[in-house]
Amino acid sequence: MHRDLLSAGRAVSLMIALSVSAIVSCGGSGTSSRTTAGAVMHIDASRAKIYHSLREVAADAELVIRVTATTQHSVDLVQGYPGDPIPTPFTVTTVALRDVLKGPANTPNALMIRQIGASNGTTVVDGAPPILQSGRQYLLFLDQFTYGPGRATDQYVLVGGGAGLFADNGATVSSLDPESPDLPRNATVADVTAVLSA
Amino acid sequence: MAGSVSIFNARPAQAFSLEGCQWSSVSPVHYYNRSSGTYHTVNDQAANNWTATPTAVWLAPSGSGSPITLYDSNDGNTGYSGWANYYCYYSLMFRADGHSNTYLTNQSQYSYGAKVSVMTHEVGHDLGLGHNDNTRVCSQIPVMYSNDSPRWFGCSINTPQKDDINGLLYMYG
Repeated sequence: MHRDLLSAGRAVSLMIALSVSAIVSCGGSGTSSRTTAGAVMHIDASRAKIYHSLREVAADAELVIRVTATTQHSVDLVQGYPGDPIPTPFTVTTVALRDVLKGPANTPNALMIRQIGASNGTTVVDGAPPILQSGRQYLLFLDQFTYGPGRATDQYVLVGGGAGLFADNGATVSSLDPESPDLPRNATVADVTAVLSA
Repeated sequence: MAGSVSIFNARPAQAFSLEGCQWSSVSPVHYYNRSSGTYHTVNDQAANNWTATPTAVWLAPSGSGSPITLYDSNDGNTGYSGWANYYCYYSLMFRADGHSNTYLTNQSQYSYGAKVSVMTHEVGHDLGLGHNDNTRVCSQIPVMYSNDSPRWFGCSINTPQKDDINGLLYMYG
């Protein structure tokens, strides 16, 4: 199977509205039909790995950086298969680099972070961490987004689907992932630095 | 966590979480299996796991116009082993899919049983069940636990458990 990237930088609301309005679907009994304008798309994503500590998250991260999310948001609608009537939205946010805690010294000043979902009210992603908000500061544990060996992209993803997302409050950071209950809710930046240098 | 509706019995572990969206009828609800090879077998096994529960749920294989589609695709290193998408309209589900992320599920640690665990979980979402992370005790952990680590790699769960079944009984009888 493959995925088709339908669009980049296109408003998800329009695309979903088009997709939704095109659907005429049978009910469970196969006897009813319904068009779906006004329906809300839900996504339930399931994690592969649970993280118990900052050390585990750091070990899986290529990059650990402090950033400010900028205003650029774009949404990719990704079909699971040709003709998929329920394409999955991914939001790509550009972040401005403030500090590199782990990673190469030549880390780009601007990086694109890929997250499942869209923040415009058309999609609900149950259990996922929030989409990065423009102007907010974050501590991110990241891997380069790839489809496999030799198929790297210019985007990055959060470690563990969301375990690597923390609000950066200055001297402290706070986990923003609702499905990583074992991670400390709060830590100092000094704690994170100590983990990385251990 | 889905959290739209949570029903708790006397013991916290005896709980399930609902999406707040369900099919008008599940006797049957048809699904289309788009996968081939191992994943085709995995998808059918996952559907059969729910049909085998003592509930009204009957997932019947059918063609491409079916309201549920099961498939596999390479989503990359998102950290998610699979997900389910569905449209909800006034609390009624009318189109859903579920799939495995082969970037992860083709890795060696994902045995056949692990693949079935992922897809049974996703089909549970397609039926209206939400994540239920109330316990990691293996004798009580549901297949709707959100994370493969405790669900399969810790507890070898790949079939609906008591709380999952209670959730279906609540919705569909």
